[in-house]
Amino acid sequence: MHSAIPTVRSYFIVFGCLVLLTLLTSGIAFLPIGNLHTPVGLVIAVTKAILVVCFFMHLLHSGRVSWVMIGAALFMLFVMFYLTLADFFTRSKFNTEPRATADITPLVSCRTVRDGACPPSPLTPG
Amino acid sequence: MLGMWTFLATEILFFGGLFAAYTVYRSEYFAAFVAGSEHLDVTLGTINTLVLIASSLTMALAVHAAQMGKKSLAAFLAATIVLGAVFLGIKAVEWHHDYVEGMVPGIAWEPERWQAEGIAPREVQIFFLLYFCMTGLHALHMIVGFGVLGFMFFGARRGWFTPSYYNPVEIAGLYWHFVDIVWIFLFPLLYLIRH
Repeated sequence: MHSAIPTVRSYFIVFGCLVLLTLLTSGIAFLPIGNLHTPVGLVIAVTKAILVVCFFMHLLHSGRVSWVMIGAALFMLFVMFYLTLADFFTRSKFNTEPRATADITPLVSCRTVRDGACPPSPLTPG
Repeated sequence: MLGMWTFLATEILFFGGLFAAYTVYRSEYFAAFVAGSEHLDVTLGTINTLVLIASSLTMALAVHAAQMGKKSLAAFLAATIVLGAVFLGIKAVEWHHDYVEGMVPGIAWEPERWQAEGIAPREVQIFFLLYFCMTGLHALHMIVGFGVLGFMFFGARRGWFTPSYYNPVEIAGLYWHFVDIVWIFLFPLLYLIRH
């Protein structure tokens, strides 16, 4: 399955890159870059993951089947995230006030007014 | 080999579920997540990340030793296990500190600290719940990894592996690298949430 045996030197180079990226991501956390923290952190994390997968896990030297397997997993992960976030991000505000208030819109959607925690629905009679 | 890649695909989705929950709650309770994240020790977390990456290096070197039929295979496997144990040791220190400080929801929880900062304790609880569940699940995976690597070490000492047969070592390596990758994502998402 392997077209070439990676050298020990290549492993140490990859290790060095991973160490540098780790120190970079930790260091950046102390900088005041506001909204950029998330995308920068994720980009660095993805880079590190790619380095580990391609070199330590020999994916670069593996057959197409391994690539397809990873691709399938990432695709299903994308589907899971997409559908989950499409649900939650299109709901109204999460409930952060005491339940005594009448106009609450909870995170968990209500099925019936009888639950007691749901606001009265215009659809149910009475 | 293909079997291990398939299993890793299922593991990606296993952890992915927790990451999805994390995404939902972080987007809604961002201030609470920042507050909770700032109470985690970035220094220990960074050291732990470096320790785990080093264990991935020793694992890759172990597979290489198996490929070349070198006797250092057993030593590299042992080094990987030792580094993994160091990682878990540091995590235990972190968790103990969190317990003493009252930041473990349901077990040792002090809401006053958060109320003083103007953060809703309910929301920070979700951050710490996710923190303990995700790092706990990761730690469980590492313990399983110790078992697998220990078995490989046992076999290496008995000369089971040759340059023409080292598949078990390689797939054990795949599992260990996957555990490393999960931590590579856990670290910035849990420890480095900043405004």
